[in-house]
Amino acid sequence: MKADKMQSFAQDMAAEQIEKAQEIRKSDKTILQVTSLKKHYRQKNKRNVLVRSLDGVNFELKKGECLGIIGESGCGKSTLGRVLIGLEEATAGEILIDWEDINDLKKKNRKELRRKAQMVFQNPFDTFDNRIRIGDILTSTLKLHDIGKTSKTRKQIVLDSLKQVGLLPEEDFFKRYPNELSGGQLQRISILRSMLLKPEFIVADEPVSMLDVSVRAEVIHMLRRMAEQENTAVVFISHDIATTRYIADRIAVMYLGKIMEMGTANEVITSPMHPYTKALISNCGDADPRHKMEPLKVKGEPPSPMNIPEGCSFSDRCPYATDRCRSEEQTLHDFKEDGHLVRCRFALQHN
Amino acid sequence: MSILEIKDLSVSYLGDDYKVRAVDHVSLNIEEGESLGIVGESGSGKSTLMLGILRLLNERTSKTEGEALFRGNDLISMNKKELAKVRWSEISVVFQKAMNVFSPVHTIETFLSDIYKVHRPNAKRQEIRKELTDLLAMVNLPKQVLRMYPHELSGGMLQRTSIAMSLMFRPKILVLDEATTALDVITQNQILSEILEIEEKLHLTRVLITHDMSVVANFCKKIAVFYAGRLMEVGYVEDVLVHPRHPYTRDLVKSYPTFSEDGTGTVISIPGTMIDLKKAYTGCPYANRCDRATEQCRTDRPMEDQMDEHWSYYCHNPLQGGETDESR
Repeated sequence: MKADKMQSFAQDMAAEQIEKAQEIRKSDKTILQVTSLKKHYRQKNKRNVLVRSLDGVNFELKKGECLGIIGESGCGKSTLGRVLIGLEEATAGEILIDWEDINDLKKKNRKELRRKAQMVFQNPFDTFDNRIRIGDILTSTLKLHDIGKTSKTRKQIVLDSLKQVGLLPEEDFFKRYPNELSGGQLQRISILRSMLLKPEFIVADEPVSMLDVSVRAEVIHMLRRMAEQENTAVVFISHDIATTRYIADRIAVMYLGKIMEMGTANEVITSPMHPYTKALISNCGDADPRHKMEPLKVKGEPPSPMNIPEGCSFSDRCPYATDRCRSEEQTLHDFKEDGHLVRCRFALQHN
Repeated sequence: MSILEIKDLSVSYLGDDYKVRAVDHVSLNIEEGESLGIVGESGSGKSTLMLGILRLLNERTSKTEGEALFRGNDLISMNKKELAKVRWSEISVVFQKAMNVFSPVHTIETFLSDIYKVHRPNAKRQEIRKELTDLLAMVNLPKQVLRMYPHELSGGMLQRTSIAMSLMFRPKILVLDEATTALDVITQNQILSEILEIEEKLHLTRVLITHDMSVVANFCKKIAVFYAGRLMEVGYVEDVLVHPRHPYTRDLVKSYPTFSEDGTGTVISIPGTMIDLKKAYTGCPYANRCDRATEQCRTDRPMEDQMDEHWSYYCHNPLQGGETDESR
């Protein structure tokens, strides 16, 4: 009898603790937490060669925040996006979406995962089936997730959202086929579709690089506005630094599967601390001939992720590299204690 | 002195029951030794212009009219034999996808020497090898590259090789058609600065076709802005990009996010979409998206207006030398 009582008491205590922990988590606004994420591939005919696309990525994302990820081709930024929404499984590390492990979410219910994490792809012309009307594409998403009781209410939801993003007249767009729309319009539909489920975060992988310059701004503005409205976090992946700075709150610079520098967008762009970030930003020109760029030269080309140098991965191209850089790995460190993280031991000396 | 004089050139793509006027009565002078950047969005005709001039388009599906005088000789009416002499040895082109240019089953040396032999049939093997080694050295590639296959080279090295290839016969005009677009910014700038050095050595005239205005602003003296197959404005970059006369130039510049000091510079997007070139239209093609359009813009085709010898624009209602910051 006594033992039973004790046990139930202990259970109550445990339940209370869990509840408390959950409450703390709820009040904290972190929506995505990524810890030492790794994604390694093996080549088909060379089984012993490891391609290290992601090699220990850590970051957190708060509700409604926009994180820009920049880097050159082959740095792993697209792989990161695909792993984040569960299109590919990580080799190691942990992804917590709303404090739930992504693998648990996937096993439990894939639909549930899609309601939390969505993606916008680069090429809007490949995203849609040309034989299905825009209206049907959008309502089918709602139907699949049991939003709206009748087809009539679902249609109304879609019409309202079309109107909201300025695709007018909305009845007209509802009836049109994807091949009748321009790239900018299609990309807006693509963003609209991923936002219909009001996800916790979306991954936008180069969403404007296929579009003409003259329509990029409206797509970016729309993405930003919708994300703000629904308090959705955005992971904005791009090689275009000026555009990323325009939309992102924080920026992470990637090089060979690692984050080299991370901080607020302004900090990273105006006062970069890592030699690689400095080189990258100095090489981005303006359309204004009065501000000629002064590009910093960097030796060689980025090594392939199959053959990452030992120590700091930038050490073989870095003008400041010492023997220690070539042998010892540096971690992301907050030198100024202001949240600006840099993976370079000389970050303070060379500024 | 102008080295290439384009006079009233039109290029049309022919469909079954329609015709797309991809380049529409364009006149443009390219001076010897200058560097011209041709910018425009997709479908503006910037690539078609050079393809049309070099007659690289299929003659059954396209039609080129007008004149393109290279040192006084018209390339459009020239016979094939003469044209073959001009291509590559006088005017050469570098295309965007370097990876697709090379043969995957031949070494770089085999591939390059085959081309060399076509233009210099009597060349000896040693002469060819020396020439190729010099060429690669010009773009900072080691001679080991000659023995390699395309898949062994990185994208930047392949693009360097294709630039070397285009310089094989020391051409007078080098056309770069989005040649560095697929590369990373750091590699792109390295290659472009190398080209700048080569240019001085060989007294090249360079035509750079791109959609990236920042590349033109940093690496070209002059700029030509294209829209819907027509030339909108041409002049020195310091004039055209800073005090544009044509509203389209202004809007295009304002569509680019820049690194302004405070990072708050707003980016605009141009409302509407480009007109359908399959259909005939009157007036200015930009009239449906332009904030300064008048009735005349919809009916009459704007003719050339000159600011000075080098700077001209095609607009009925030009901006009066306002900055790019002039609000829309």
